[in-house]
Amino acid sequence: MKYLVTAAALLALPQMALAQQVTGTINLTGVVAGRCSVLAGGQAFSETINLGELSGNDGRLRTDLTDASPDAVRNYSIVCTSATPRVILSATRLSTGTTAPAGYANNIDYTAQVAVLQASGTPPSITYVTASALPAPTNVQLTAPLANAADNVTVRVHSFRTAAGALLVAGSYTSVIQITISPT
Amino acid sequence: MRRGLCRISITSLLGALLIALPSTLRAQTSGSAVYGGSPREVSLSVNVTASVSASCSFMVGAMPKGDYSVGNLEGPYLIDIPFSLTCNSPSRVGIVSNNGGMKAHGVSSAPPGYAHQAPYRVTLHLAGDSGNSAHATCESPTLTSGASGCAFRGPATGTAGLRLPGPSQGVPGSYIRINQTGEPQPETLIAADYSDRLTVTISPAT
Repeated sequence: MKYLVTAAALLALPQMALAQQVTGTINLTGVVAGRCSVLAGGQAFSETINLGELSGNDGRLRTDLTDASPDAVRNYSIVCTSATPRVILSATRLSTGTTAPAGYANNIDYTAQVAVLQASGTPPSITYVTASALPAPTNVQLTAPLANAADNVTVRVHSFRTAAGALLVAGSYTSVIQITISPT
Repeated sequence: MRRGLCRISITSLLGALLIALPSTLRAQTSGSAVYGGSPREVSLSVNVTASVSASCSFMVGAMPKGDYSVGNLEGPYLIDIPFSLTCNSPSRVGIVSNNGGMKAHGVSSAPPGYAHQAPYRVTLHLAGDSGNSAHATCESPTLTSGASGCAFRGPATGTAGLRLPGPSQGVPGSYIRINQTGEPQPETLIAADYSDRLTVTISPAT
């Protein structure tokens, strides 16, 4: 009788439970960090813009440099992963680094402009105008990701100027345009 | 005489009980009773049959589960998630991916040239008794519910999932491998936190 009770109890077990589906859950996580880099590789780009002879026949700044049309244009291909990268632009005056006598100029101010291609929307204007007292860098956040395309960052320089009527001091003039593109 | 009748009653009760049991364990009884005292013994034969259901599970303490970080999705990564089966029959294992790839949090869409989902590769290796094994690799987009093109897209059933052709009693060596080579993709992944969830199921194979 005892064995019968045991047998009956075993048979009463839910045998289907043994064949039931069993589940494991795996949670995967990863990250894409905000970063900007040059498409060709690296984190920096550098180039020299040679404007050539700055003075005209009258010894003053060439008139073709003084208008708002670009006097030099350079394109760069930048990759950023963030949704709205930030562009910081600054420049120094085009200068010989020496002292100019009265009536002469050895500092030339100009406008540096950065134009970007965005993946969508209209990009903001990004310009920097040099002056004897350099203004704070222009700091602009884009409204969309940089376009995933070549030549998506363009640098232009234009609107060169000196004190009215000043003669340019002979020498080598240098300036540095600094552009920083950061993830945010 | 009274004692003989009592024995007959018990025998009959046994027969009735066993016949009433579920079909998976059938007992057949037969007996004879002789009235009048000769012979005094009663013979009873019982035929017992039974079956063992196919059962499959993951080994306790060796289930394919947990939280895993692959780190930077733009670089190469490889994660092995080991587990063990305990199956007394051929089995099938299936995997379902929630997103079909690592999906960016809080990014519903990506602008042209960008992506908010990063596919990866899933390799399933099953190790069984006597050197039995099964092995297959699929791309994560083929692992979503309803997708096609993957031999082990779950959930596992008797006929769906990667089939291990024999039992496996806790044999080590089964694993799920998550990997990506890190080769440059035409679309740039948008910066964000990414995640996916894999649901792994096991079932006896039919």
